[in-house]
Amino acid sequence: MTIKVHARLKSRKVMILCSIIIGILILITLLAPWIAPHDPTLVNLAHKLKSPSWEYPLGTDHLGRCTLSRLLYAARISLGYATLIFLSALTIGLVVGTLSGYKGGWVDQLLMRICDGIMAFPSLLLVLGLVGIFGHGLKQVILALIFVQWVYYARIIRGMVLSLREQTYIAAAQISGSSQWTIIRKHVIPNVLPPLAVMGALEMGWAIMDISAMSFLGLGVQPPTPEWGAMIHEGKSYIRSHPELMIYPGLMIMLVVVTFNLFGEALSERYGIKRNS
Amino acid sequence: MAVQRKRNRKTFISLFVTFMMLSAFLAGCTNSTAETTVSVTESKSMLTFAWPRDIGEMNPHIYNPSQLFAQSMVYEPLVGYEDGGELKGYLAESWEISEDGKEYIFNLRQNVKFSDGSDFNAEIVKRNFDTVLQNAQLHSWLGFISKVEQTEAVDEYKFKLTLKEPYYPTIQELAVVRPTRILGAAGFPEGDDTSKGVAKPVGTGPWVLEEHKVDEYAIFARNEHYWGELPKVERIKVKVIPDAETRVLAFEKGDLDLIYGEGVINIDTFKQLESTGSYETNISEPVATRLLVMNSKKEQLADERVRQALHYGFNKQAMVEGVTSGLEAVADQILSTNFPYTSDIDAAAVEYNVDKAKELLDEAGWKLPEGKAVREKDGKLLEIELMYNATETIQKMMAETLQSEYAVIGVKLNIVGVELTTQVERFKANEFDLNFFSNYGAPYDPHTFINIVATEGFGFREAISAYPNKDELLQMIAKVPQTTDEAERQELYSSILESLQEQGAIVPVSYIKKIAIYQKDVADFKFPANRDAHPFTGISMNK
Amino acid sequence: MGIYITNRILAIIPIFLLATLLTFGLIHMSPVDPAEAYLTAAHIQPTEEILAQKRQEFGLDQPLYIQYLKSVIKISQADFGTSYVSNKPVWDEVSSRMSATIQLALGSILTAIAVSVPVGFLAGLKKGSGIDHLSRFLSFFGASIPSFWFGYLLIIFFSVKLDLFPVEGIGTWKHLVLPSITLALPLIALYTRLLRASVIENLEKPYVLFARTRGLQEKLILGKHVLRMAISPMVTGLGMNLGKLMTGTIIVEAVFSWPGFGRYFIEAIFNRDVPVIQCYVLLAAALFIISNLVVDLIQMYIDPRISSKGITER
Repeated sequence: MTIKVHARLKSRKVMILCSIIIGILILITLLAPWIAPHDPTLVNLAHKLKSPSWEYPLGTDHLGRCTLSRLLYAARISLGYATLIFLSALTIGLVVGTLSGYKGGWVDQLLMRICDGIMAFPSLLLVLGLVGIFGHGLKQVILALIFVQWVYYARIIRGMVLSLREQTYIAAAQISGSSQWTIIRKHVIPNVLPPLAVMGALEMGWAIMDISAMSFLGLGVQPPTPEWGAMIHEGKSYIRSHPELMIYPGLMIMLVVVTFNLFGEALSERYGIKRNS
Repeated sequence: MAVQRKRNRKTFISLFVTFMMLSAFLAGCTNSTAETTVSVTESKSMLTFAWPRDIGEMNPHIYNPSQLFAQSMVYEPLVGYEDGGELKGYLAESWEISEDGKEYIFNLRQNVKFSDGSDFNAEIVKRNFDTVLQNAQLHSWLGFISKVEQTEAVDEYKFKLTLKEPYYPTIQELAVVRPTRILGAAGFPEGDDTSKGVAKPVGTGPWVLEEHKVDEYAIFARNEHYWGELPKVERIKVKVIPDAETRVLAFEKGDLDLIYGEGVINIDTFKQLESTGSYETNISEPVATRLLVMNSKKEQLADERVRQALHYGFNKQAMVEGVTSGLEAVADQILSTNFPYTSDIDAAAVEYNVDKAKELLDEAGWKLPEGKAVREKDGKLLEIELMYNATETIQKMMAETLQSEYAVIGVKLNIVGVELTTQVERFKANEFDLNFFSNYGAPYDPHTFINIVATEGFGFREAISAYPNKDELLQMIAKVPQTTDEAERQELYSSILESLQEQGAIVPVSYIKKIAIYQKDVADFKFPANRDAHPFTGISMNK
Repeated sequence: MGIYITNRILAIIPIFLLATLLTFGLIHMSPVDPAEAYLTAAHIQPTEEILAQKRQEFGLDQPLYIQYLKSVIKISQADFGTSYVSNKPVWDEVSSRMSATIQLALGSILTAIAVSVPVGFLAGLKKGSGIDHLSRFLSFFGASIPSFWFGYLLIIFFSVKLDLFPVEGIGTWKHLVLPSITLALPLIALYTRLLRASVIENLEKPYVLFARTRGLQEKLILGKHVLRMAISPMVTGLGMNLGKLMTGTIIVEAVFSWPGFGRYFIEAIFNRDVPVIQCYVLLAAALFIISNLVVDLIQMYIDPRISSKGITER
């Protein structure tokens, strides 16, 4: 028992720490235009590959752009699009999963077969395939990521809806004549939210990693937009003379992904949700 | 409990067996590769060279993924292209062209043997041309192919080519690496259709393919039957290293003797390696011109003043210097002067002048509203899109620079990176505002470049459609290949190129150059005059 | 049981058909004209006649459902068409690169096992110890380090600075070390965590208590029983992660110039070499489906009570 309380306390601490980091990241995302010392896409070839100075706190890249500004703006892209992916996938998954679990019958069959088809592929690989077929670019990557992600939400939500349907209090609500929508709103959603929060935190980490992996391969974010994966891709050409150009963005990815993973972990411990690997 | 344990043991055993099988597979893999590593004896005069992709099939009559430089090592043309556009006999010692420019007679070299010892003669030349002509459609990009009427082996060492109409660049086009180089008799497959593959890579060239491990390496050995000067190194090993950084790291470790090519390593890396003084470096003459093509069919760009403003509005000198670290030179002409017929072109160079650019835009009606950053005309923003090849670092960096520079004169430049396929497609479909392009280089230019400009469906003809003298230009271009008089030809070329450039739809940016970097023990390196050919002629190693 | 297995195997067929339908549909929705893509990739300047000829050759002039049926029949015979770029059968191109990728995958699985089994096991035994902290560190950072970044760090440190391993290439075991470690890192993270959890779980099981009261040697209990029991979830994890591993090889092969299947795939994406992309995606789906089935069957074999648990993996 004491161990459990200890673990709870620890997970609380982790959660607070993670919340602070995530809060800072969100602030950076929102305030980037005001806190960044320079325009992240402003090319100044006369200042290329400069070492850190007052003017350029982290130096400049191969086109004389301010590295710090680029790192800060890149947080916007990564966090912004990861959130977009998460919300879109969640929305689609919520609609499909609820529909499927609630209606059952052929609707359920059809929707679940579509999920099977998509889940027959390892997700990042399907993303690569989609980008290969439809051409590369951030838009395609985002759409592809949403396309492969919603099915997992749909599956989980369907499962939850199914198990909730069996619960007596819902049956009671049904008997007492509440409308379907009220049942969903009052009983289904509150039960579904905590596990979704856990998934969301983990999803953010994955999405950020996937976006940067695609950009690293040159298939995602296109120049001059700053993005961490793309910055590693560009910086690797200077790995011997200016390794920091690729080290900084790598550290940023790590920091963000670790934070979201820890946060998800702490959340799941908090709500006692068992996490499948 | 006992049952469960027993089950577990079974799983364990079956897994163990699976693993052993997999490991055996792994061992199989490593064994086979280990053997080949042993067979490659580290010969003293083996030059190791890295290339981004596998050499592909060694077939002189096909295109990608076969690599041009490798094809040029094994196979030779009748005529070769030398510095300054001089055409030199290779397998043909000399040639005669009839008065009407339709008949070409080649006197073939007599002491030539293929690498398998078989004889070279007019018969085998005819056989090669005939198999190529069988697939004439495939090769129609090469002008003379569609004009061939007849091939004939006049006698053992005399080969005759008859054309339907005069076409002056024929000899120059014979110097290309593919598809008209000569394959030996043993190389022909059944039915002689080499477009489906060759039986054996037999050529007359200085090198013979000795060993090839797809996607890993290829080893070429010196052709001991070679008719010309025997290469000084015995073997050339071509390692496949797709990643530029990895190539550099391998070179620094001494695993490679030579890195050579266009854009094969990052320019700043090249400069940095050069500055260490531990290696020899070399930069070639211009091999082609990097051009910025403006689509005059687009509304904003139809106005010559806007095109000129975009030309005045960027600091070419600083951009080329900054982006390429001075490796490429600023280009003031569409074709550099080391190509035939380009030496006395008289187009004025455009100097960087922001005020002039702003003035021109104002004149054209694009005004900058108070407190805004982008010019407007009739409520429309001056927004232009630049398309570039996303995998080409220099295009990418220049696009980013231009975007920054045009913002100063109030032009919003949107840059769009696409893959090569899309770039070509969109250029041809005329779906672009600005695009990067480069001419083809030796031995294709100048005639191929102006031919492309005039041909429908390649993008240029449409791009220059707002030129007032368009029809006249097209007529002149059509006339060039049929000329038989040198002076007339020169005059035509001069007026075509001058006119193309002066109206500002084709902006020369920089002259593309090749680089070479090699270890100190490599000597006598020389860039090939033919852009596609291998650089190993005369190269030696002092160890 | 036999019927169940047969059913499970038969159930693969519609899923795989779904996968082919999906790929087919996507390819046909894409704006690329295969004939034109072929010509561009082959650096042939397309004229109308060549285009028409190629379209006919590719069967693009036939109705869609016939094209689909034909493609399914071909795929079932391992005929994935010809690569636009090399003009050779895709299957030949792919199978010639397969051994390099398998070598890399096995190398990384072995590395992952060699690291995660001892670390995870000891961490499970000694909760809160130094090695437990190490395991937590590994499982968090291993899952969060971008492999494309980590690979370059390894190259810089071990190849360039220390000159211990070659920078690129394939052939000896030395070539295999750095790519295997890079690829193994996320697996190490996962397995360490899995094993640790499962060791802790098993230690609380009655059979351990029982063995202890019977006075069996602690070493024997741990080594022979706990470890063996704890490893079985790892097997499941291994099967389920083959898909992830396959995606991992793409990036690692790009970093280390490994002449495998993944690098070929990336090249195909840049060249829009659609037959190769299709082949890769379908093979991945096949591998993924089959490995999930095998895992299912193994699980059923271990514990017959699990009859048809759906397995989901991202």
